[in-house]
Amino acid sequence: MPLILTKADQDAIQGTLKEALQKSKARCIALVDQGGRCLAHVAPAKEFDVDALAALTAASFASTRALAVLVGETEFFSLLHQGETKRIHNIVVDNERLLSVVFDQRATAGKVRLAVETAAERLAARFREIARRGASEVSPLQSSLAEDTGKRLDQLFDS
Amino acid sequence: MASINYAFKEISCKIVFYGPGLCGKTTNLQAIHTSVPQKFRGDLVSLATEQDRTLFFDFLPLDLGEVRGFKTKFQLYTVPGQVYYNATRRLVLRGVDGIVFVADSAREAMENNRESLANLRENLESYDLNLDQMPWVIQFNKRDLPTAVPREEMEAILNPDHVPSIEAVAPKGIGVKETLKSVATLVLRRLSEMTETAVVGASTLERKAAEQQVVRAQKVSLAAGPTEVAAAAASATASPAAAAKPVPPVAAAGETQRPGRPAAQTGPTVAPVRARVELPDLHVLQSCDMRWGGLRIGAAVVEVSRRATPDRKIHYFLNCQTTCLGLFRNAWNCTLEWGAEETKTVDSQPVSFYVLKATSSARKREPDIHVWVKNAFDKACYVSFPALGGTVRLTPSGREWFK
Repeated sequence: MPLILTKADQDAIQGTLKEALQKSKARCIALVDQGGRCLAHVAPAKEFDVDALAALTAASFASTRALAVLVGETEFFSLLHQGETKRIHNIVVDNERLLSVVFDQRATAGKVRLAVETAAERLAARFREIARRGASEVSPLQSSLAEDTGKRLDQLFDS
Repeated sequence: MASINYAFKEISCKIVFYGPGLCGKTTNLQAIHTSVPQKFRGDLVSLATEQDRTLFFDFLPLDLGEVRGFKTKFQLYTVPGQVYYNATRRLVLRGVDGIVFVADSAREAMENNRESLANLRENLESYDLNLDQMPWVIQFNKRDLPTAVPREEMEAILNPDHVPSIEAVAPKGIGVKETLKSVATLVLRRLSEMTETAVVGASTLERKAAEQQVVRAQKVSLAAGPTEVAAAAASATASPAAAAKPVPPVAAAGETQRPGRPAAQTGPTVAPVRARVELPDLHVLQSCDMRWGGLRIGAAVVEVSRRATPDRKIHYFLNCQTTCLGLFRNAWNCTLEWGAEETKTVDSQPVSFYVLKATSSARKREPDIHVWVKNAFDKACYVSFPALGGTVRLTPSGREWFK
Protein backbone atom coordinates (compact mmCIF):
# COMPACT_ATOMS: atom_id res chain seq x y z
CA MET A 1 0.00 0.00 0.00
CA PRO A 2 1.40 3.42 -0.86
CA LEU A 3 2.02 5.96 1.85
CA ILE A 4 -0.99 8.26 1.87
CA LEU A 5 -0.75 11.69 3.42
CA THR A 6 -3.81 13.84 4.02
CA LYS A 7 -3.88 17.59 4.46
CA ALA A 8 -3.89 17.17 8.21
CA ASP A 9 -0.81 14.95 8.00
CA GLN A 10 0.98 17.37 5.73
CA ASP A 11 0.17 20.34 7.96
CA ALA A 12 1.42 18.49 11.01
CA ILE A 13 4.62 17.40 9.28
CA GLN A 14 5.34 20.83 7.84
CA GLY A 15 4.64 22.41 11.20
CA THR A 16 7.08 20.09 12.93
CA LEU A 17 9.77 20.73 10.34
CA LYS A 18 9.32 24.51 10.47
CA GLU A 19 9.57 24.50 14.23
CA ALA A 20 12.73 22.38 14.09
CA LEU A 21 14.22 24.68 11.47
CA GLN A 22 13.55 27.77 13.55
CA LYS A 23 14.90 26.25 16.77
CA SER A 24 18.01 24.87 15.12
CA LYS A 25 18.66 27.85 12.83
CA ALA A 26 19.40 25.36 10.07
CA ARG A 27 19.34 26.14 6.35
CA CYS A 28 17.26 23.20 5.24
CA ILE A 29 15.46 20.31 6.83
CA ALA A 30 14.02 17.42 4.85
CA LEU A 31 11.98 14.36 5.72
CA VAL A 32 13.25 11.56 3.53
CA ASP A 33 12.09 8.00 3.13
CA GLN A 34 14.67 5.29 3.03
CA GLY A 35 13.91 4.61 -0.61
CA GLY A 36 15.27 8.07 -1.41
CA ARG A 37 12.07 10.11 -1.74
CA CYS A 38 11.68 13.55 -0.20
CA LEU A 39 8.36 13.49 1.65
CA ALA A 40 8.48 17.05 2.96
CA HIS A 41 11.03 19.80 3.35
CA VAL A 42 11.50 23.32 4.58
CA ALA A 43 14.24 25.33 2.94
CA PRO A 44 13.72 29.06 2.97
CA ALA A 45 16.62 29.83 0.69
CA LYS A 46 15.80 27.07 -1.81
CA GLU A 47 19.49 26.63 -2.44
CA PHE A 48 19.66 22.84 -2.54
CA ASP A 49 18.40 20.27 -4.99
CA VAL A 50 16.13 18.57 -2.51
CA ASP A 51 15.50 15.52 -4.70
CA ALA A 52 19.20 14.81 -4.97
CA LEU A 53 19.65 15.51 -1.27
CA ALA A 54 16.96 12.95 -0.46
CA ALA A 55 18.37 10.28 -2.76
CA LEU A 56 21.93 10.72 -1.55
CA THR A 57 20.91 10.92 2.09
CA ALA A 58 19.04 7.66 1.85
CA ALA A 59 21.93 6.03 0.05
CA SER A 60 24.40 7.34 2.56
CA PHE A 61 22.31 6.06 5.42
CA ALA A 62 21.84 2.69 3.77
CA SER A 63 25.54 2.21 3.25
CA THR A 64 26.39 3.26 6.80
CA ARG A 65 23.78 0.85 8.09
CA ALA A 66 25.68 -1.88 6.30
CA LEU A 67 28.85 -0.63 7.97
CA ALA A 68 27.10 -0.71 11.34
CA VAL A 69 26.17 -4.33 10.84
CA LEU A 70 29.77 -5.04 9.94
CA VAL A 71 30.93 -3.80 13.34
CA GLY A 72 28.16 -5.49 15.28
CA GLU A 73 25.60 -2.69 15.56
CA THR A 74 22.06 -2.82 14.18
CA GLU A 75 22.49 0.65 12.72
CA PHE A 76 23.93 4.07 13.42
CA PHE A 77 20.99 6.25 14.50
CA SER A 78 22.55 9.52 13.55
CA LEU A 79 25.22 10.71 11.18
CA LEU A 80 27.07 13.97 11.00
CA HIS A 81 28.88 15.06 7.85
CA GLN A 82 31.20 17.95 8.51
CA GLY A 83 32.49 20.28 5.80
CA GLU A 84 34.34 23.54 5.81
CA THR A 85 31.30 25.77 6.18
CA LYS A 86 28.34 23.43 6.06
CA ARG A 87 27.32 20.32 7.90
CA ILE A 88 24.62 17.73 7.46
CA HIS A 89 23.03 15.89 10.33
CA ASN A 90 20.90 12.83 9.56
CA ILE A 91 18.75 11.05 12.10
CA VAL A 92 16.44 8.07 11.98
CA VAL A 93 12.73 8.82 12.43
CA ASP A 94 11.42 5.29 12.12
CA ASN A 95 11.92 2.12 10.04
CA GLU A 96 11.17 3.94 6.83
CA ARG A 97 12.14 7.59 7.30
CA LEU A 98 15.02 9.91 8.10
CA LEU A 99 15.45 13.56 8.85
CA SER A 100 18.23 15.39 7.11
CA VAL A 101 19.32 18.82 8.31
CA VAL A 102 21.75 21.09 6.50
CA PHE A 103 23.26 23.83 8.65
CA ASP A 104 26.22 26.16 8.82
CA GLN A 105 28.17 28.12 11.43
CA ARG A 106 25.08 29.99 12.55
CA ALA A 107 23.87 26.82 14.24
CA THR A 108 25.61 24.59 16.73
CA ALA A 109 25.60 20.84 16.36
CA GLY A 110 24.16 20.39 19.84
CA LYS A 111 21.20 22.70 19.24
CA VAL A 112 20.54 21.05 15.89
CA ARG A 113 20.64 17.60 17.44
CA LEU A 114 18.23 18.61 20.19
CA ALA A 115 15.74 20.24 17.84
CA VAL A 116 15.89 17.36 15.38
CA GLU A 117 15.47 14.63 17.99
CA THR A 118 12.32 16.29 19.26
CA ALA A 119 11.02 16.63 15.73
CA ALA A 120 11.87 13.00 14.96
CA GLU A 121 9.83 11.77 17.92
CA ARG A 122 6.81 13.80 16.88
CA LEU A 123 7.09 12.65 13.29
CA ALA A 124 7.43 9.02 14.34
CA ALA A 125 4.21 9.34 16.36
CA ARG A 126 2.49 10.91 13.39
CA PHE A 127 3.49 8.09 11.07
CA ARG A 128 2.36 5.50 13.57
CA GLU A 129 -1.02 7.19 13.47
CA ILE A 130 -0.97 7.19 9.66
CA ALA A 131 -0.17 3.47 9.61
CA ARG A 132 -3.03 2.72 12.00
CA ARG A 133 -5.47 4.77 9.95
CA GLY A 134 -4.61 3.14 6.62
CA ALA A 135 -6.35 4.55 3.54
CA SER A 136 -9.83 4.94 4.91
CA GLU A 137 -10.14 8.68 4.45
CA VAL A 138 -9.06 9.19 0.90
CA SER A 139 -10.64 8.79 -2.50
CA PRO A 140 -9.07 6.54 -5.13
CA LEU A 141 -6.99 7.84 -7.99
CA GLN A 142 -8.63 8.03 -11.36
CA SER A 143 -7.86 5.02 -13.49
CA SER A 144 -7.06 7.25 -16.45
CA LEU A 145 -4.11 8.72 -14.58
CA ALA A 146 -1.80 6.05 -15.97
CA GLU A 147 -2.78 6.59 -19.58
CA ASP A 148 -2.65 10.38 -19.27
CA THR A 149 0.80 10.11 -17.75
CA GLY A 150 1.86 8.09 -20.78
CA LYS A 151 0.59 10.88 -23.03
CA ARG A 152 2.45 13.46 -20.98
CA LEU A 153 5.66 11.48 -21.40
CA ASP A 154 5.05 11.44 -25.15
CA GLN A 155 4.74 15.22 -25.09
CA LEU A 156 7.91 15.68 -23.07
CA PHE A 157 10.01 13.47 -25.27
CA ASP A 158 8.64 14.95 -28.45
CA SER A 159 9.06 18.56 -27.37
CA MET B 1 6.84 2.44 -1.70
CA ALA B 2 4.99 5.12 -3.60
CA SER B 3 3.57 8.11 -1.76
CA ILE B 4 0.36 9.98 -2.44
CA ASN B 5 0.11 13.39 -0.84
CA TYR B 6 -3.50 14.54 -1.01
CA ALA B 7 -2.63 17.88 0.54
CA PHE B 8 -0.12 18.89 -2.09
CA LYS B 9 -1.75 16.67 -4.72
CA GLU B 10 1.48 14.84 -5.42
CA ILE B 11 2.27 11.30 -6.40
CA SER B 12 5.79 10.04 -6.16
CA CYS B 13 7.07 6.70 -7.45
CA LYS B 14 10.46 5.01 -7.64
CA ILE B 15 11.58 3.13 -10.73
CA VAL B 16 14.81 1.16 -10.83
CA PHE B 17 16.67 0.17 -13.96
CA TYR B 18 18.27 -3.19 -13.32
CA GLY B 19 20.45 -5.49 -15.37
CA PRO B 20 23.93 -6.92 -15.82
CA GLY B 21 27.02 -4.80 -16.13
CA LEU B 22 27.36 -2.63 -19.23
CA CYS B 23 23.87 -3.46 -20.48
CA GLY B 24 22.82 0.15 -20.86
CA LYS B 25 21.09 1.17 -17.64
CA THR B 26 23.03 4.40 -17.21
CA THR B 27 22.72 5.09 -20.92
CA ASN B 28 18.94 4.92 -20.57
CA LEU B 29 18.98 7.57 -17.88
CA GLN B 30 21.36 9.72 -19.88
CA ALA B 31 19.04 9.47 -22.87
CA ILE B 32 16.06 10.47 -20.73
CA HIS B 33 18.07 13.34 -19.26
CA THR B 34 18.89 14.56 -22.75
CA SER B 35 15.38 14.20 -24.13
CA VAL B 36 13.25 15.66 -21.35
CA PRO B 37 13.20 19.46 -21.03
CA GLN B 38 14.99 20.79 -17.97
CA LYS B 39 11.78 22.15 -16.52
CA PHE B 40 10.50 18.60 -16.05
CA ARG B 41 13.58 16.94 -14.62
CA GLY B 42 16.37 17.46 -12.15
CA ASP B 43 20.05 16.89 -12.58
CA LEU B 44 21.42 13.45 -13.27
CA VAL B 45 23.36 12.36 -10.21
CA SER B 46 25.90 9.66 -10.96
CA LEU B 47 28.04 7.93 -8.39
CA ALA B 48 30.55 6.26 -10.62
CA THR B 49 34.16 5.18 -10.84
CA GLU B 50 36.76 6.95 -12.90
CA GLN B 51 36.09 4.47 -15.65
CA ASP B 52 32.45 5.56 -15.69
CA ARG B 53 31.22 2.32 -14.24
CA THR B 54 28.33 2.90 -11.84
CA LEU B 55 29.63 2.55 -8.31
CA PHE B 56 26.52 3.11 -6.26
CA PHE B 57 23.66 4.36 -8.45
CA ASP B 58 22.54 6.95 -10.93
CA PHE B 59 19.58 9.07 -10.02
CA LEU B 60 17.32 11.24 -12.14
CA PRO B 61 14.15 12.88 -10.81
CA LEU B 62 11.31 13.56 -13.23
CA ASP B 63 8.45 15.93 -12.49
CA LEU B 64 5.77 15.54 -15.14
CA GLY B 65 3.70 18.38 -13.79
CA GLU B 66 -0.01 18.06 -13.20
CA VAL B 67 -1.73 14.99 -14.56
CA ARG B 68 -5.36 14.40 -13.64
CA GLY B 69 -5.03 16.87 -10.80
CA PHE B 70 -1.87 15.35 -9.33
CA LYS B 71 1.73 16.43 -9.65
CA THR B 72 3.30 13.22 -10.84
CA LYS B 73 6.92 12.57 -10.01
CA PHE B 74 9.21 9.69 -10.75
CA GLN B 75 12.58 8.95 -9.21
CA LEU B 76 14.63 6.95 -11.68
CA TYR B 77 17.55 4.92 -10.38
CA THR B 78 20.06 2.57 -11.88
CA VAL B 79 22.07 -0.01 -10.00
CA PRO B 80 25.68 -1.05 -10.47
CA GLY B 81 25.67 -4.08 -12.68
CA GLN B 82 28.93 -5.74 -11.77
CA VAL B 83 28.52 -8.91 -9.82
CA TYR B 84 30.38 -7.86 -6.70
CA TYR B 85 28.13 -4.86 -6.06
CA ASN B 86 25.19 -7.01 -5.02
CA ALA B 87 24.85 -5.44 -1.56
CA THR B 88 24.57 -2.03 -3.19
CA ARG B 89 21.97 -3.24 -5.67
CA ARG B 90 19.88 -4.46 -2.79
CA LEU B 91 20.06 -1.07 -1.08
CA VAL B 92 18.96 0.76 -4.21
CA LEU B 93 15.94 -1.53 -4.60
CA ARG B 94 14.49 -0.40 -1.31
CA GLY B 95 11.09 1.21 -1.77
CA VAL B 96 10.94 0.36 -5.49
CA ASP B 97 7.59 0.70 -7.24
CA GLY B 98 8.49 -0.40 -10.74
CA ILE B 99 11.41 -2.08 -12.45
CA VAL B 100 12.95 -1.91 -15.90
CA PHE B 101 15.10 -4.91 -16.58
CA VAL B 102 17.62 -3.95 -19.24
CA ALA B 103 18.88 -6.99 -21.10
CA ASP B 104 21.95 -6.96 -23.30
CA SER B 105 21.08 -8.44 -26.68
CA ALA B 106 24.61 -9.69 -27.40
CA ARG B 107 24.68 -13.48 -27.52
CA GLU B 108 27.69 -13.60 -25.22
CA ALA B 109 25.75 -11.61 -22.62
CA MET B 110 22.79 -13.99 -22.35
CA GLU B 111 24.17 -15.84 -19.37
CA ASN B 112 24.76 -12.54 -17.58
CA ASN B 113 21.19 -11.52 -18.36
CA ARG B 114 19.87 -14.71 -16.83
CA GLU B 115 22.01 -14.36 -13.74
CA SER B 116 21.05 -10.74 -13.28
CA LEU B 117 17.35 -11.55 -13.53
CA ALA B 118 17.73 -14.28 -10.94
CA ASN B 119 19.68 -11.85 -8.78
CA LEU B 120 16.89 -9.30 -9.09
CA ARG B 121 14.34 -11.82 -7.83
CA GLU B 122 16.60 -12.74 -4.96
CA ASN B 123 17.17 -9.14 -3.91
CA LEU B 124 13.46 -8.37 -4.09
CA GLU B 125 12.77 -11.36 -1.86
CA SER B 126 14.92 -9.76 0.80
CA TYR B 127 12.22 -7.08 0.96
CA ASP B 128 9.40 -9.65 0.80
CA LEU B 129 8.65 -8.59 -2.75
CA ASN B 130 7.88 -10.85 -5.67
CA LEU B 131 8.86 -9.70 -9.14
CA ASP B 132 5.82 -11.43 -10.63
CA GLN B 133 3.55 -9.33 -8.44
CA MET B 134 4.92 -5.93 -9.26
CA PRO B 135 5.04 -3.65 -12.26
CA TRP B 136 8.02 -4.43 -14.43
CA VAL B 137 9.02 -4.36 -18.05
CA ILE B 138 11.96 -5.75 -19.94
CA GLN B 139 14.04 -3.80 -22.42
CA PHE B 140 16.04 -5.65 -25.04
CA ASN B 141 18.86 -3.17 -25.53
CA LYS B 142 21.60 -3.10 -28.12
CA ARG B 143 19.36 -4.33 -30.90
CA ASP B 144 21.77 -2.83 -33.41
CA LEU B 145 24.47 -5.36 -32.60
CA PRO B 146 25.32 -7.80 -35.40
CA THR B 147 25.37 -10.56 -32.78
CA ALA B 148 22.02 -9.59 -31.32
CA VAL B 149 20.00 -12.60 -30.28
CA PRO B 150 16.65 -12.80 -32.10
CA ARG B 151 13.87 -11.27 -30.07
CA GLU B 152 11.83 -14.44 -29.98
CA GLU B 153 14.72 -16.25 -28.39
CA MET B 154 15.26 -13.52 -25.82
CA GLU B 155 11.56 -13.52 -25.01
CA ALA B 156 11.58 -17.26 -24.51
CA ILE B 157 14.60 -17.17 -22.22
CA LEU B 158 14.06 -13.98 -20.24
CA ASN B 159 10.36 -13.23 -20.56
CA PRO B 160 8.33 -16.44 -20.39
CA ASP B 161 5.51 -14.61 -18.63
CA HIS B 162 5.28 -11.98 -21.35
CA VAL B 163 5.61 -8.82 -19.37
CA PRO B 164 5.77 -5.78 -21.67
CA SER B 165 9.00 -5.84 -23.66
CA ILE B 166 10.58 -3.13 -25.72
CA GLU B 167 13.44 -3.22 -28.18
CA ALA B 168 15.94 -0.44 -27.77
CA VAL B 169 19.19 1.10 -28.88
CA ALA B 170 19.72 3.30 -25.85
CA PRO B 171 22.70 5.36 -27.06
CA LYS B 172 20.51 6.56 -29.93
CA GLY B 173 17.48 7.01 -27.67
CA ILE B 174 15.55 4.36 -29.55
CA GLY B 175 13.03 2.60 -27.34
CA VAL B 176 13.94 4.65 -24.26
CA LYS B 177 10.75 6.69 -24.18
CA GLU B 178 8.63 3.62 -24.84
CA THR B 179 10.29 1.77 -21.99
CA LEU B 180 9.77 4.56 -19.51
CA LYS B 181 6.20 5.09 -20.63
CA SER B 182 5.45 1.40 -20.33
CA VAL B 183 6.72 1.04 -16.78
CA ALA B 184 5.28 4.38 -15.65
CA THR B 185 1.79 3.48 -16.80
CA LEU B 186 2.04 0.08 -15.14
CA VAL B 187 3.12 1.66 -11.87
CA LEU B 188 0.36 4.25 -11.87
CA ARG B 189 -2.24 1.76 -12.92
CA ARG B 190 -1.21 -0.39 -10.00
CA LEU B 191 -1.38 2.59 -7.69
CA SER B 192 -4.89 3.43 -8.87
CA GLU B 193 -6.01 -0.14 -8.25
CA MET B 194 -4.49 -0.22 -4.81
CA THR B 195 -6.21 2.97 -3.74
CA GLU B 196 -9.46 1.78 -5.24
CA THR B 197 -9.53 -1.44 -3.28
CA ALA B 198 -8.42 0.22 -0.08
CA VAL B 199 -11.23 2.74 0.09
CA VAL B 200 -14.45 1.62 1.73
CA GLY B 201 -17.65 2.66 0.08
CA ALA B 202 -19.31 1.35 -3.07
CA SER B 203 -20.50 4.83 -3.93
CA THR B 204 -16.90 5.80 -4.56
CA LEU B 205 -16.45 2.90 -6.95
CA GLU B 206 -19.64 3.66 -8.80
CA ARG B 207 -18.61 7.24 -9.23
CA LYS B 208 -15.24 6.11 -10.48
CA ALA B 209 -16.81 3.67 -12.92
CA ALA B 210 -18.85 6.48 -14.38
CA GLU B 211 -15.70 8.55 -14.84
CA GLN B 212 -13.71 5.84 -16.58
CA GLN B 213 -12.87 6.23 -20.23
CA VAL B 214 -11.74 3.60 -22.59
CA VAL B 215 -8.13 4.07 -23.56
CA ARG B 216 -7.89 3.91 -27.27
CA ALA B 217 -5.04 1.89 -28.61
CA GLN B 218 -2.83 3.80 -30.99
CA LYS B 219 -2.90 0.91 -33.39
CA VAL B 220 -6.58 0.09 -33.27
CA SER B 221 -8.84 2.27 -35.34
CA LEU B 222 -12.17 2.80 -33.75
CA ALA B 223 -15.06 1.41 -35.74
CA ALA B 224 -18.50 2.93 -35.36
CA GLY B 225 -19.96 -0.54 -34.97
CA PRO B 226 -19.27 -4.13 -35.77
CA THR B 227 -17.56 -4.62 -39.08
CA GLU B 228 -16.97 -7.60 -41.27
CA VAL B 229 -14.20 -9.69 -39.94
CA ALA B 230 -11.45 -10.67 -42.34
CA ALA B 231 -13.94 -11.44 -45.08
CA ALA B 232 -11.21 -11.73 -47.65
CA ALA B 233 -9.21 -13.96 -45.34
CA ALA B 234 -12.25 -16.16 -44.89
CA SER B 235 -12.59 -16.61 -48.59
CA ALA B 236 -8.92 -17.38 -48.94
CA THR B 237 -8.56 -19.88 -46.13
CA ALA B 238 -11.98 -21.04 -44.95
CA SER B 239 -11.31 -18.66 -42.11
CA PRO B 240 -13.51 -17.09 -39.52
CA ALA B 241 -17.08 -16.26 -40.26
CA ALA B 242 -17.98 -12.69 -40.93
CA ALA B 243 -17.81 -10.30 -38.06
CA ALA B 244 -16.26 -12.65 -35.63
CA LYS B 245 -15.40 -10.59 -32.65
CA PRO B 246 -12.66 -11.62 -30.40
CA VAL B 247 -12.80 -9.92 -27.15
CA PRO B 248 -9.56 -9.40 -25.50
CA PRO B 249 -9.94 -9.35 -21.84
CA VAL B 250 -9.49 -6.03 -20.33
CA ALA B 251 -7.14 -6.23 -17.49
CA ALA B 252 -6.10 -3.09 -15.79
CA ALA B 253 -6.58 -4.13 -12.25
CA GLY B 254 -3.64 -5.88 -10.74
CA GLU B 255 -5.10 -8.89 -9.12
CA THR B 256 -2.09 -10.16 -7.28
CA GLN B 257 -1.01 -8.16 -4.32
CA ARG B 258 2.48 -7.55 -3.04
CA PRO B 259 3.47 -9.53 -0.07
CA GLY B 260 3.03 -7.41 2.99
CA ARG B 261 5.69 -4.94 3.97
CA PRO B 262 6.97 -4.69 7.51
CA ALA B 263 4.19 -4.01 9.95
CA ALA B 264 5.00 -0.36 10.53
CA GLN B 265 3.67 0.44 7.08
CA THR B 266 0.39 -1.49 7.05
CA GLY B 267 -2.76 -0.19 8.60
CA PRO B 268 -5.83 -2.16 9.57
CA THR B 269 -7.15 -4.41 6.84
CA VAL B 270 -10.00 -2.75 4.96
CA ALA B 271 -12.67 -4.76 3.20
CA PRO B 272 -12.30 -4.26 -0.55
CA VAL B 273 -14.92 -2.10 -2.29
CA ARG B 274 -15.59 -4.97 -4.70
CA ALA B 275 -17.80 -6.56 -2.08
CA ARG B 276 -20.69 -4.80 -3.86
CA VAL B 277 -19.39 -4.42 -7.39
CA GLU B 278 -17.43 -7.54 -8.26
CA LEU B 279 -16.44 -6.85 -11.85
CA PRO B 280 -12.69 -6.36 -12.06
CA ASP B 281 -11.32 -3.25 -13.65
CA LEU B 282 -9.58 -4.82 -16.62
CA HIS B 283 -7.60 -3.13 -19.30
CA VAL B 284 -5.47 -5.07 -21.74
CA LEU B 285 -3.70 -3.92 -24.85
CA GLN B 286 -1.93 -6.82 -26.48
CA SER B 287 -0.31 -8.02 -29.68
CA CYS B 288 -1.60 -11.44 -30.63
CA ASP B 289 -1.00 -14.31 -32.99
CA MET B 290 -4.00 -15.26 -35.05
CA ARG B 291 -4.34 -19.04 -35.25
CA TRP B 292 -6.59 -21.35 -37.15
CA GLY B 293 -6.35 -25.11 -36.86
CA GLY B 294 -3.16 -24.69 -34.88
CA LEU B 295 -1.52 -22.71 -37.67
CA ARG B 296 -0.52 -19.12 -37.34
CA ILE B 297 -2.38 -17.28 -40.07
CA GLY B 298 -1.88 -13.71 -39.02
CA ALA B 299 -1.58 -11.17 -36.26
CA ALA B 300 -3.89 -9.00 -34.26
CA VAL B 301 -3.90 -6.16 -31.80
CA VAL B 302 -6.65 -6.37 -29.24
CA GLU B 303 -7.79 -4.14 -26.49
CA VAL B 304 -10.26 -4.92 -23.77
CA SER B 305 -11.45 -2.29 -21.37
CA ARG B 306 -14.13 -1.80 -18.81
CA ARG B 307 -16.80 0.80 -19.32
CA ALA B 308 -19.68 2.24 -17.37
CA THR B 309 -22.79 3.19 -19.26
CA PRO B 310 -24.69 6.36 -18.38
CA ASP B 311 -27.06 4.25 -16.28
CA ARG B 312 -23.99 3.04 -14.36
CA LYS B 313 -24.09 -0.51 -15.64
CA ILE B 314 -20.65 -1.89 -16.15
CA HIS B 315 -19.61 -3.98 -19.07
CA TYR B 316 -16.52 -4.60 -21.13
CA PHE B 317 -15.59 -3.45 -24.56
CA LEU B 318 -13.42 -5.12 -27.13
CA ASN B 319 -11.50 -3.48 -29.93
CA CYS B 320 -9.69 -5.70 -32.34
CA GLN B 321 -7.63 -5.19 -35.44
CA THR B 322 -6.56 -8.25 -37.40
CA THR B 323 -4.19 -8.79 -40.26
CA CYS B 324 -4.61 -12.15 -41.95
CA LEU B 325 -1.86 -13.61 -44.10
CA GLY B 326 -0.21 -10.22 -44.04
CA LEU B 327 -2.75 -8.95 -46.54
CA PHE B 328 -6.26 -8.72 -45.21
CA ARG B 329 -6.85 -6.16 -42.53
CA ASN B 330 -9.94 -5.60 -40.52
CA ALA B 331 -11.04 -3.86 -37.38
CA TRP B 332 -14.11 -4.43 -35.27
CA ASN B 333 -15.44 -3.90 -31.79
CA CYS B 334 -17.90 -5.59 -29.53
CA THR B 335 -19.50 -5.32 -26.13
CA LEU B 336 -18.75 -8.05 -23.64
CA GLU B 337 -20.28 -9.19 -20.44
CA TRP B 338 -18.85 -10.94 -17.46
CA GLY B 339 -18.88 -14.72 -17.65
CA ALA B 340 -17.03 -16.54 -14.91
CA GLU B 341 -13.63 -17.44 -13.55
CA GLU B 342 -11.98 -20.57 -14.89
CA THR B 343 -8.72 -22.40 -14.42
CA LYS B 344 -6.76 -23.47 -17.48
CA THR B 345 -3.39 -25.10 -17.97
CA VAL B 346 -0.68 -22.90 -19.41
CA ASP B 347 2.83 -24.33 -19.72
CA SER B 348 1.78 -27.22 -17.51
CA GLN B 349 0.75 -24.82 -14.75
CA PRO B 350 -2.82 -24.10 -13.64
CA VAL B 351 -3.67 -20.49 -14.29
CA SER B 352 -6.80 -18.65 -13.26
CA PHE B 353 -8.67 -16.71 -15.95
CA TYR B 354 -11.52 -14.26 -16.10
CA VAL B 355 -13.94 -15.20 -18.86
CA LEU B 356 -15.85 -12.61 -20.85
CA LYS B 357 -18.30 -13.23 -23.68
CA ALA B 358 -20.18 -11.19 -26.21
CA THR B 359 -23.37 -9.74 -24.78
CA SER B 360 -26.69 -11.24 -25.79
CA SER B 361 -27.48 -8.25 -27.97
CA ALA B 362 -24.11 -8.53 -29.64
CA ARG B 363 -24.58 -12.25 -30.10
CA LYS B 364 -27.69 -11.64 -32.19
CA ARG B 365 -25.47 -10.04 -34.79
CA GLU B 366 -22.15 -11.67 -34.18
CA PRO B 367 -20.86 -15.17 -33.66
CA ASP B 368 -20.18 -16.39 -30.18
CA ILE B 369 -17.00 -14.77 -28.96
CA HIS B 370 -15.14 -15.62 -25.79
CA VAL B 371 -12.23 -13.94 -24.11
CA TRP B 372 -10.03 -15.25 -21.35
CA VAL B 373 -7.96 -12.79 -19.32
CA LYS B 374 -5.24 -14.15 -17.12
CA ASN B 375 -5.95 -13.38 -13.48
CA ALA B 376 -2.46 -12.18 -12.62
CA PHE B 377 -0.51 -9.01 -12.82
CA ASP B 378 0.41 -9.91 -16.39
CA LYS B 379 -3.05 -9.80 -18.00
CA ALA B 380 -2.37 -12.06 -20.95
CA CYS B 381 -5.51 -12.60 -22.95
CA TYR B 382 -6.80 -15.30 -25.25
CA VAL B 383 -9.72 -14.90 -27.62
CA SER B 384 -11.74 -17.35 -29.64
CA PHE B 385 -14.49 -16.97 -32.18
CA PRO B 386 -16.08 -19.44 -34.60
CA ALA B 387 -15.26 -19.22 -38.28
CA LEU B 388 -15.83 -21.12 -41.46
CA GLY B 389 -14.20 -24.49 -41.08
CA GLY B 390 -13.26 -24.08 -37.47
CA THR B 391 -12.40 -21.70 -34.70
CA VAL B 392 -10.05 -18.75 -34.89
CA ARG B 393 -8.00 -18.10 -31.81
CA LEU B 394 -5.94 -15.14 -30.77
CA THR B 395 -3.11 -15.86 -28.36
CA PRO B 396 -0.39 -13.67 -26.88
CA SER B 397 2.41 -13.34 -29.42
CA GLY B 398 4.60 -16.41 -29.42
CA ARG B 399 2.33 -18.48 -27.23
CA GLU B 400 0.14 -21.47 -27.89
CA TRP B 401 -3.46 -21.89 -26.88
CA PHE B 402 -3.99 -23.10 -23.35
CA LYS B 403 -5.36 -26.52 -22.44
